[in-house]
Amino acid sequence: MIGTPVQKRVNNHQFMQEIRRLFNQEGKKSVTFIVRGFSMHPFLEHGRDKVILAPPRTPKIGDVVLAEIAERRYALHRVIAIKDGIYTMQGDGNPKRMKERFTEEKIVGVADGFIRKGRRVMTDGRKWRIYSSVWQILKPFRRILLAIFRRM
Amino acid sequence: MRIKKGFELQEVCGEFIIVPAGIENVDFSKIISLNESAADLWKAMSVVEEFSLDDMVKTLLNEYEVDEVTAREDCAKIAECWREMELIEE
Repeated sequence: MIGTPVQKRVNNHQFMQEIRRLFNQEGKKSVTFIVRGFSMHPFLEHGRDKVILAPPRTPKIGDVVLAEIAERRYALHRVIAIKDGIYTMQGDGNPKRMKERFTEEKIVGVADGFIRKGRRVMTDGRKWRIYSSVWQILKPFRRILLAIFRRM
Repeated sequence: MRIKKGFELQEVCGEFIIVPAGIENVDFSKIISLNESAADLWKAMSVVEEFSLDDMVKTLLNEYEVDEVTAREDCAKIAECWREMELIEE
């Protein structure tokens, strides 16, 4: 039907190429899209929440980065360590052993904010900082908490 | 009617989408996508100063094997949709 809103799924790799292309256009400061997957639980919900992604920049610990983690495989996760030019990131909702390593040139973009349940949460804002530090403190209990969140 | 200034048609992952030109944030969760024939119509109509429903129908008939009745119905629907999305002005 003409004019009816639909959610379309696109090929991830192709989409990443498009994002890179858009970031190369003058004046493009961010792209917004709906996230897929459950690795950033409980903050981001698959198919509901959105990320506001800015062009690549050198990330800090705690930043949420979209990077190519293997040939044509991408993830949007939180940077948890930086050492000798190697970045380590992990999904908030992923178990301890699941970490990804990448170098700076693999960064597609850095999250400036999110749209969670229709509300905008910017990464330089208070709400995101509080959420991030709470989740950091609760890290040892992550598995139990995630199991609870999953049942909610 | 005419297509408003400041919109550009882009192909993203095989989909034709209309993006406001010069916009700082491209929101993929709220984009207007066109199928191939609608994109062809858009291309043809965006280069003319003004167009009518007849012009759209003619363009479609030139490029696609479709009967005139169907073409007219489709063009009317598309024009209505563009009007609703505020992409065209009278």
